[in-house]
Amino acid sequence: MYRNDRVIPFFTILFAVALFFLAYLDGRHITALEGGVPQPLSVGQIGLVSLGIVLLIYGLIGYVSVWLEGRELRPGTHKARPGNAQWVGMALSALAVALSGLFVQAIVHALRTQENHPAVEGAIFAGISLTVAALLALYKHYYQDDEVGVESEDSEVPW
Amino acid sequence: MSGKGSSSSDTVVRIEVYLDDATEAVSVLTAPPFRFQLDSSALEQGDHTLRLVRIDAAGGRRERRIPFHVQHEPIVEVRGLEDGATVSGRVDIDVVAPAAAPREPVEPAGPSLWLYVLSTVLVLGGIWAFFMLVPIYSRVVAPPSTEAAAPASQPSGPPVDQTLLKAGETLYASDCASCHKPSGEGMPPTFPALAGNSFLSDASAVVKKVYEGGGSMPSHPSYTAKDLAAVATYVRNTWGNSYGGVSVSDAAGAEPKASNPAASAAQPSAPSGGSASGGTASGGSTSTGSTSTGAASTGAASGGSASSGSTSSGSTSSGSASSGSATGGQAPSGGAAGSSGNGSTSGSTSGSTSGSTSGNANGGSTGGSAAGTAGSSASTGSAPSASSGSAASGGQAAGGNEQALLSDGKQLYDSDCASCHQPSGAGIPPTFPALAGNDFLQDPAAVVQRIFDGKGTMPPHPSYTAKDLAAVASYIRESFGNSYGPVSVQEAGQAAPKAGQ
Repeated sequence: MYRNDRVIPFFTILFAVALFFLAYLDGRHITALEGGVPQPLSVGQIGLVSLGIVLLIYGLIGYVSVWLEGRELRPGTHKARPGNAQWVGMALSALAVALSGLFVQAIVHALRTQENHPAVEGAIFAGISLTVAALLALYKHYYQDDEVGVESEDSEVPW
Repeated sequence: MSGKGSSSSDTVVRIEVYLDDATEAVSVLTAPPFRFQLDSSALEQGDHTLRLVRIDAAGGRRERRIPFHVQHEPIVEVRGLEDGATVSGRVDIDVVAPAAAPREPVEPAGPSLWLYVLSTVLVLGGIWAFFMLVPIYSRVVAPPSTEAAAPASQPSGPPVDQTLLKAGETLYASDCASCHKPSGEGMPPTFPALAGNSFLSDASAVVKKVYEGGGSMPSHPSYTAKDLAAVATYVRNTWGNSYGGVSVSDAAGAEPKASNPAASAAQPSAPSGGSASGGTASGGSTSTGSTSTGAASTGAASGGSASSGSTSSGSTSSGSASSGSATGGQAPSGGAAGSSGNGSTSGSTSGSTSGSTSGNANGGSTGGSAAGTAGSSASTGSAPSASSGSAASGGQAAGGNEQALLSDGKQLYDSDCASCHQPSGAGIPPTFPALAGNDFLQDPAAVVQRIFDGKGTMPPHPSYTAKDLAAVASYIRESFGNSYGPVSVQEAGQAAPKAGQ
């Protein structure tokens, strides 16, 4: 029977954090070598961060699957039970709108003053993306019925 | 199957379990929880009876009968051949194994919490330890050689040339202090602190960094080897640093592209001349021949237009003197003009009556700088003509003041701003934005406030007067292809009320 594991996502995220940490310490080391002058990201740091992002997304998908589907799929129809999820949904929607306004303001400010703060803008946009993702997951979990079918092992699918 | 002792006072000694009519018990239960297992697969398919006999301590026997039915699963299910069927030839027969009863999924026991914690500590701690404890990293990060290990109060490097140290202080104040701060504390992380910075222990690296720049540090291609040696000596031996001096030959060796020492020695006054010219107001006080001449010619340029094209030097200085008094507040320049002679005094008097009608505050500040330079000798007789000139053509006077403002602004820009925003105004994006074609400059009040208060990597300039602010703002709004218009001293004063007049 299909299982959603919780161990693999944990170690995936752990390794992702380790890679980010590695890139951070590497950057500090390079900065120290340059007399305290912060340097642009090196190729090695970009590689570490990229791999870390891939692992982080993989781990997060694992945890989201556990939350949405449970650790084991049970055949049958599973009715969604909204409960009080609408309040969480409203709060997240308001947060997404607020962050969007903040993002637009940051862009307009950068255009007017030529003062670009990529870290701030990136953090706001990441916040928007994560909020929208949380909304989608919330909808899937609390408002969409699920049906799990059973398929014999010797089906026509060769794998 | 299980049983329990009755609630009566009788105590259960044992429970005997019989199957059907057998006389031999299948199981004898003597103690709670009176549980046993019945293997139905060993029984015949059909009806059966389970008999439970309870025996009390008093010897009493009570019996309960439970009838049940045993239905065995078929070993195989056969389709295509019925019991007792008559067949001939080939017969297709399907044999199907009965499906096993679905099993309840068993929740696997996951790793315990301590395993997660231990893994996290091991992985992240291992990475940290790799960087912090492996000798190669600590060796590279630590300042090499003995000079860094030496106490700060005991210089262990080459002897410090006091002349170079002094020259370096001047250069640092004009080109470096806006970012690294006069106290050497910098503005981390963009502008690192120089006080206690181990990077300074390597003299050649310092020279290279100053000359070539790197990251947010701008290059200084105009520096001669002597300049490089002076700045390197200064930063290596100030704010508690004691890394030793850097000779001109060392600097030339570290940065061969820089001008040779001989060339720089031939023009020793170039840096100081530059800084002296940066002080438009202090130009008069330097009183060296070349400087006063230059300042006087500047005054002539502005004053000339103030007096409607008059070419005499007398009208030049008087024009500036009169406009200087129009503001009535130029303390330094006014003081200089006042002490210089009667001519300037009378010029200011008349200027206050006639020139003030134009209401041009810029004129006052411009005149102040010019008066500081040339007012002592050339302003005697022509003050009335200048005042009348400014009264007749206030617009032209403003034009002359504007030129003087731009001139002052350029000097201030070159000394305080160009190291980051570059002499061409191209900046070093994204840390230092370009000023050429920058829409932010459209708002004069915002420009003045930004210069005065600073923001982010832009350092504040609290020592700037309203006139300085107006001069720099006017210059950057009218240079590098920009044409946003000048900023008057009055506007600058309103935008930055805390600035001195």
